Amino acid sequence: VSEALASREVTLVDLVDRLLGGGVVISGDITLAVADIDLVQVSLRALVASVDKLAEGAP
Amino acid sequence: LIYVYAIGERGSAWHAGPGLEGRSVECVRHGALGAFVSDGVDRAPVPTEALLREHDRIVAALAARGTVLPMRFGTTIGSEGELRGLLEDRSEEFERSLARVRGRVEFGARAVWDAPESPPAGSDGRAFMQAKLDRRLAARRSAERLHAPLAELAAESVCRLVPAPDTAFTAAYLVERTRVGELERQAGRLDDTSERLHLTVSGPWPPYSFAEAPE
Repeated sequence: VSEALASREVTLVDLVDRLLGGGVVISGDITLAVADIDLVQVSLRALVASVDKLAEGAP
Repeated sequence: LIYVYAIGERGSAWHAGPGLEGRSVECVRHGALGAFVSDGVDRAPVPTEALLREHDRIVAALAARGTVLPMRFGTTIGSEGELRGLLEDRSEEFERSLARVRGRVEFGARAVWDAPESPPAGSDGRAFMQAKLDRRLAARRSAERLHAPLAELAAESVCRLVPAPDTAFTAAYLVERTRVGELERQAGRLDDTSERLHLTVSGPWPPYSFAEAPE
């Protein structure tokens, strides 16, 4: 299982759900702290996709 | 600023290779706990796909070597003093959460509709709402049928009906390392018997969905 942790294939949607919707939250100084992540996650996925596009210099 | 990846046990090994954007990963110890960090970050990072993948790679490497609670992506703290204050103030909660995830990993499940949601052609508002409601009820039933047999194999689980046109539900399972194979086989069987849905599992993950104390 330890090797599997390091080598598994990861999709962006699963990453966004966990890294931006889960994890320990410190009050005050968080990039994203949202009460109802369910509704927000759909737009977060779009946000991440568009940030990546900007980074690539795409229109 | 100090970027925080995860909180673990004081003595845990952490040689996880380079941190975010090539920075070194250090462990700040306080009491029975240790925080895995990179120092010298200018601002909270923007969540690009590349950085999300990097963060996950580092946390997964830490989780492969010890018991850790992942932080939410983008967590920064002003100084080592503030970090020690956090470890001090929430030590009981963190120690309880570490005990909760010890020897366990997270698996994810996602149930995706074979056919995307589409309103009936030429329909009025009432038929449109009825179609939405039907889809929502179908999602609830699918969660009962597919999620429950997986939850039985897990120590803890969470399931969410997703308000997205393509997805019925997502779920996360905190599962003993020794039962991972069982969970994967069960998911495969459930997917084989699903007619309108495709069930996929992902993992093992660090315990992102079980890092915060239950409410």
